[in-house]
Amino acid sequence: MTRRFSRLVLGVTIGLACAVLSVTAASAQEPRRGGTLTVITPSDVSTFDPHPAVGFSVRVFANIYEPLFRKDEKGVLQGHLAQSWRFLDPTKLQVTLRKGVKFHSGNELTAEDVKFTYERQLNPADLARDAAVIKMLKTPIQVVDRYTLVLETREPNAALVDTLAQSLATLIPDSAEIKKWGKDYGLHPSGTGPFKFVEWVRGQHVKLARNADYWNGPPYLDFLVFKVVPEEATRVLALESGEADVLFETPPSAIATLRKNPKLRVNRVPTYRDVDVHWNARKAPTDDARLRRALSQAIDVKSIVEEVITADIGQVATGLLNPSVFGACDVGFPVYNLARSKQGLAELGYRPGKDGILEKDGRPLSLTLVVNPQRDPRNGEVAEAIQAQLRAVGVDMKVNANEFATYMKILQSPEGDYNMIFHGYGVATADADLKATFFLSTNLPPAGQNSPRFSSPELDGVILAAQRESSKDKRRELYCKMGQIYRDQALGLPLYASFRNTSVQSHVNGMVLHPDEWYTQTYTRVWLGPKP
Amino acid sequence: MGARGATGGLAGYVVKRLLGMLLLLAGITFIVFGLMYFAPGDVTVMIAASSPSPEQLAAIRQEFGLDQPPWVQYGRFLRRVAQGDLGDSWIDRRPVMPQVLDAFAYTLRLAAAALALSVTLGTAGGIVAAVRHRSVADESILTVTVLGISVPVFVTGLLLIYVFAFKLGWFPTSGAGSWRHMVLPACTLASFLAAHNVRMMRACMLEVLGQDYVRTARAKGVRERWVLGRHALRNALVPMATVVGLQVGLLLGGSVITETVFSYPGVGQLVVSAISARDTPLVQACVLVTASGFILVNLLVDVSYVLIDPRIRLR
Repeated sequence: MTRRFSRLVLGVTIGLACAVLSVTAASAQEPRRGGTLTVITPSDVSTFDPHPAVGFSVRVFANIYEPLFRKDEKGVLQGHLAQSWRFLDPTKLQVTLRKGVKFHSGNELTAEDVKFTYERQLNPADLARDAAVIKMLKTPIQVVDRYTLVLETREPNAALVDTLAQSLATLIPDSAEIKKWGKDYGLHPSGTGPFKFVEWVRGQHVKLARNADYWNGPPYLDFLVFKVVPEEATRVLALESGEADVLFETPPSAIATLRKNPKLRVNRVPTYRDVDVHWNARKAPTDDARLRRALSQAIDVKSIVEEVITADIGQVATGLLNPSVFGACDVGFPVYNLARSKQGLAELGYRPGKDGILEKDGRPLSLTLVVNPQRDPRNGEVAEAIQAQLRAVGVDMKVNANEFATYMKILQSPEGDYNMIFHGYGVATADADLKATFFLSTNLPPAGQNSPRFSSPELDGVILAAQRESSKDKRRELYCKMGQIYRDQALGLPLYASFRNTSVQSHVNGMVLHPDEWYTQTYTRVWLGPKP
Repeated sequence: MGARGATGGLAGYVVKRLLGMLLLLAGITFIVFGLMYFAPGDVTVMIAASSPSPEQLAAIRQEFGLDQPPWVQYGRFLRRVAQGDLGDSWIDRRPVMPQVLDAFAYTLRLAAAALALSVTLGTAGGIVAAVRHRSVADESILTVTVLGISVPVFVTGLLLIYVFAFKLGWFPTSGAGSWRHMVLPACTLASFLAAHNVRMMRACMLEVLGQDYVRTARAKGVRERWVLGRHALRNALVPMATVVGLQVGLLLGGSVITETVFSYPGVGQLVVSAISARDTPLVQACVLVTASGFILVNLLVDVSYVLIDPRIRLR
């Protein structure tokens, strides 16, 4: 099991290296300045204020705003706006900012900007979308001097620096500009990033221009344009016709065609994302762990991933986290064993009834699977495959497909009207803590998104211990333990660790594709060679 | 459609219709509010997606008045509308009206282009098919219209992009801003509408060409061009005006599919994204603007009857 996991990690590492190499292979020539890079995005930004923003806004933000820390494409943590940092004690992190970093407005970045940002987000009235990510921070934030501040947490938090590396909640905007523009700041963004805001034509495009004063070396590109194209087929044609240079997420159906196009490169990039299906441990009949176990053994995840998901989009999950994420652990998934599944169902007293559906005490074994088909490619088909496999052992599984708002409402509703639910999650911090906290009892709906709706003092203890533990090895062990509890309690089935297929024109050079889907993809070192 | 009669002034009729329009719009807002209220999912999960605290959810609900009973929410909305304020978007916190009017302006331009194309092609095709009744030309035109009606617009749109944007490179694949951006979406919409218009025009012309007054005109030796233009076409245009009026209404509502395929920032795309985000103020504003447009166009169509056929009176 451990060897299999090691192979998986090795595979991901090689994949990452290949992705970086393949996109940089063409950059043997000398980088040159100038030009406009057009990136296709499926939906528009909602505002340029990073905190209340929703949807794909974040892909634009990574070029305008910056966090204190950042993880590179290999997952190595680096100081970004933070020059240095150290823990004064297990709950106090002292951060010293780089000096001389300027916002696009010309104001200098100071500790007051960081204090203002975090306090603004942690104020419920400000409706910051990702505020929960930094809710461990105590307010008020303590400013030591112009460039130094102390971040204090309620409990020791080993993942604090990783958490502050990648999230909407960690981007530092210009506090003076927020105060100046008030509600209209969303149209007058000012960050410290490599590109400055130029224009936003709603539903059309966002245009950013080179920040010549960028503290980390100005970008090569003159302009960066995010072009909004909602329709999948049109996105592909826009890339093929040369109207756009980068298609961040290539639709699975187009991968083979685009690979054959000599003008394009399709890069398969490992991500921090994994897609699972969770059982609902609080709704009959899946409130019985023995039944959940038997049903889990009836689902052939390997065949679903190989046939429906395909190797382009994902690899079979062996644990709760994507292997690129710290704390990932092979805990013995997949658990497919049809004979044991049937035996388990029979031992529980289920017998074939009308139409071959299993019954117990005259009640058919009828379940509901909730899915949001839009979020991950082929979620809908995977749901149908699960439905078909469960039907083969006599389970009547109804698939309830919903668009995002309805899906989220069901997920977080107190009653939890589902027996099984899809849950895809990109662990943006690349640290297990972000996903692990979902499973805390304090995050049972409606308070949070503990979608298996399972809680136990043991599981809480393991997650909180991993959060406080400073030894990486011990933390890794604790996250393995968490995965084992998840498996033993049959709380769900990890399906696959996602890949992203990013297609770029062959004359685009210097692109380092980051596994993080949302917060980190910048175009600072990208330059355009001659078109073929 | 339009009330016809021998009495009643045009101005009085228009005023009466405009007053009725206010009642109709109030009814529409009530229905939209009800639909959004009972739709599963709400804006709080869109704004605070990752494990929001109960305090944060409460703050969102309080800010948007979602903690109030539905009749209070609706009453507040009506009061704001009466003051000419449709409110701010729940997602981006900006006033909704400028956003909707921007999108509506795009939709109007596309609708005008599509309509001009479909009416021109529809009228011309219908006349040729009727005049050359049961000829090869008639059969060919009818076959093309079957294609126009039966091929889904997203297929037509993607085909046009493939041929004229990707293969030939004549037009951009998507977007808006210049006349070149409008050609493919306008052709996509027009292909469907023109097919209907051809069949409608053909049927009307055939009916009119069989009337006694046409036969009389021909018997009197009136030139065929005059018979068609003066006697037949003018009468055939009355039912066409009704159909085109309805088509304008449809186009003003925004053609969601065409706008999505071509990334055209019209009101159709805006309302779909607003519904997905459960952004009720934006949905209400979109519906109010498009419904007003629809009602006004219908009023214009009714008035146009008088201009096309002076025998018609409105009351």
